[in-house]
Amino acid sequence: MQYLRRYGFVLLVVVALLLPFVFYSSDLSERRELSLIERAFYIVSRPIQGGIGFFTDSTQKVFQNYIDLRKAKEEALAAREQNSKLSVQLQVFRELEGENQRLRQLLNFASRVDLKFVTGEVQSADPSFVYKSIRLNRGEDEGVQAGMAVVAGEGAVGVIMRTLPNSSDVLLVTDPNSNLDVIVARNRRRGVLEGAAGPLMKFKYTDRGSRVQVGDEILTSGLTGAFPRGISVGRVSHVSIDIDGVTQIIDVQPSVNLDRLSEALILLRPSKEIEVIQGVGGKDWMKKIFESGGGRTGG
Amino acid sequence: MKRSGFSFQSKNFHFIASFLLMMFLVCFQSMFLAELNNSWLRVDLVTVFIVYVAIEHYLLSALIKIVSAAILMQTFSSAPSGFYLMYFLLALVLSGFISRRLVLYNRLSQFIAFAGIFLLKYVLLYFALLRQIQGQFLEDFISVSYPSLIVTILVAVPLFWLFSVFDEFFEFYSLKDRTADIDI
Repeated sequence: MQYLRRYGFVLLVVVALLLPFVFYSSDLSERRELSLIERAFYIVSRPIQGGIGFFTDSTQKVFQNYIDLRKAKEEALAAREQNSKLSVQLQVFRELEGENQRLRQLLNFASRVDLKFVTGEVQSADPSFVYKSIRLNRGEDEGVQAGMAVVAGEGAVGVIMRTLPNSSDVLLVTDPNSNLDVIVARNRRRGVLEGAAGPLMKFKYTDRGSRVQVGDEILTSGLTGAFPRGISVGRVSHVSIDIDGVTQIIDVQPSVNLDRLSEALILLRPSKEIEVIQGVGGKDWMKKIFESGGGRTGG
Repeated sequence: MKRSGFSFQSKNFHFIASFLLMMFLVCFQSMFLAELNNSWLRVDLVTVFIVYVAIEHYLLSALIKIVSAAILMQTFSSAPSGFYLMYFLLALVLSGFISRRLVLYNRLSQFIAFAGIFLLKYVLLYFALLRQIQGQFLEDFISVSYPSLIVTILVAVPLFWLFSVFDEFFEFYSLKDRTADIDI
């Protein structure tokens, strides 16, 4: 004990100086499930999380109620007017939907809207202020799995990174670890949309000759991952040429305002890659990988 | 303030209280500060607490709290595994080194020393991102990080004072005070 007291700090200095070497020489893209110790800390901190969640929700609700009350009268008038217009439109659309279904049956087309989802509320965000992830209050108990897509009304939000019994962590599309297979809505050219250090995303690996313009909408391709085809991810905000004079640098503004996101939909459709792995390795494929000593998972 | 069979002066009680404070700060930073739209309000409370604990508390007690804070931060973050452990241990060592080995003559030198520790987080993050992002991103990185860094540096001293008030509530004497008592 005396020895530890005397040399404890020196020992700590040695460990602290060695850690960066170990850290930077390891695979930084690895995003595994929480370890037992991390899960234990998460469970122990649940009551505190509950308390803070209650406080932030209550404060937000009081503030929101005040704002809502101020706007309510104007909105009610506008809504009444809009309601009468929409009622007429609805009748027309019902007729069209019926016609659409009849034609689909004739052509033997499967329904395109076969998505099941759960709605999750945002509980917390990444405390590093640089990496971008959020925690939703839906987890394994509701059937959420790693790799599932998360969307909001305006478009893609991210992918489930890891799950816990009552919550799940979402890697946002703007996170530096995020990669999405996408197409340009205007000319259907493919590319990869990567997250970056800032709030914008980078559109990379575009097809040769594809002319991307400012204002182009970027959609999910539906070819890889869990996102269905055609979900809006963002809009091109800036195009420039790199110093090599050839490569285009394309900045994309996310469709969803991720800073103001309060709830999102988790599409209960496992990613295509995970479906394939499950087909080969069974439902407990991840456990098998961990038991065999290779503790890496894909995002 | 003494009660029968119970005392706030107990070392164990102080340890538990500051451990709970650490948990509260991590959860508060993740569930409240990180969700704020204004990046100028994103104070890195946990790092300030880590530096305070490293300077004022016993090494073993500080180490337990710091490692726990690192594990808890990791559960909230998509940062690579081990990042917080590396950063917090380096912050602990640097803070300890500053308080034990270096004599800081004035407020300005203290301010610069602590600003350096807070800046270290972003240097480490930059090198982590360097391996994950291809191409130039320094400009974006600076634009995202500088509000949080500046506001953390600015509020560090008042927060240090608040943490010391918290400690005094439990009638905890900091390392510095104990050294002063021995000198007298």
